[in-house]
Amino acid sequence: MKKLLAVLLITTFITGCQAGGNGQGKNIEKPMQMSNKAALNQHISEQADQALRNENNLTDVQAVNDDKQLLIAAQVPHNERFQMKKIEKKLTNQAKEQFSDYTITLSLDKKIHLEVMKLKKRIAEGKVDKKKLSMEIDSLIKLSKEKT
Amino acid sequence: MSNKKKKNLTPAQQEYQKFQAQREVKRPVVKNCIKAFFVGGLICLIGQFIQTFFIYNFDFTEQTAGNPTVAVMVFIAMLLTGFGVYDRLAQFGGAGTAVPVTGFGNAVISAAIEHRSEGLILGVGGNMFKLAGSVIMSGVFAAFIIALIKTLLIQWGAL
Repeated sequence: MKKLLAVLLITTFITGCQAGGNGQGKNIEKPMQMSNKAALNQHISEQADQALRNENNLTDVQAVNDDKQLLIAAQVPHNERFQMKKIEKKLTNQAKEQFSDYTITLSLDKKIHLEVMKLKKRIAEGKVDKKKLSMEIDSLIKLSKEKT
Repeated sequence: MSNKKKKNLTPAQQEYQKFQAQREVKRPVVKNCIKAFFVGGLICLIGQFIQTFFIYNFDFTEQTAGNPTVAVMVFIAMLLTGFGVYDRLAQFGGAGTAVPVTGFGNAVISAAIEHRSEGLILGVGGNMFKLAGSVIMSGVFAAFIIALIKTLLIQWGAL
């Protein structure tokens, strides 16, 4: 029993140490390439994506926009999750400065990130029209503000 | 026994204290802590899986997924208590099973089972929250006090 516990303890610490720290920034994925045929202009979100990626230590950024709104979903490295509120504020201010013509909504939530990725994929496939895109962005913004 | 109390004992009692301290079986505190750490961690890992399941498959964000997760965890703990599995786990894991929210479900159901013979209303209904009631009570009260402090701080512009 004692031996088993000792082995378990040591392996946990070793694997735990390997997971964090090193390889930071390595796993930054490139922004998803949008098809040129896509009818909806996602130029602004691609710009926001690039800008935020370059200036901050983020594991991933996904963004979508319509004519008025820009929804950005970012993921922070796991060891920085304790400062999420601070990071969210900083990123929102950054985005607001650069894209003052748009209403910015920035979320670090995993769910929003997932949904934005799905939406981007559908935009690239040409399955979403302008009206539907606005509706989807609205509902995602509403979801990101939900507290209970 | 505290040192103050020890001084009030008669010499014979003091001698007995020494005698029994030598023969007392030592509690394996470190071992118990490690066990509790891993069992508690395992319960939290299962909770994390359930939370991720809710995030991926339903319209829950990281913030809102906590509510259904807690409900499911408590429900599972209640079922396991009823089947007699949770008690065995608690014997091994100790505080590791009592501190997470699953311990709450266990406290409710074990009290209900214990008083089953006294009838449904006066027995089960009256004693179900004997232990968990104080947890709810102190939780609600603590939340109220903290909310009050936060509201005051926000009103004063400190937050």
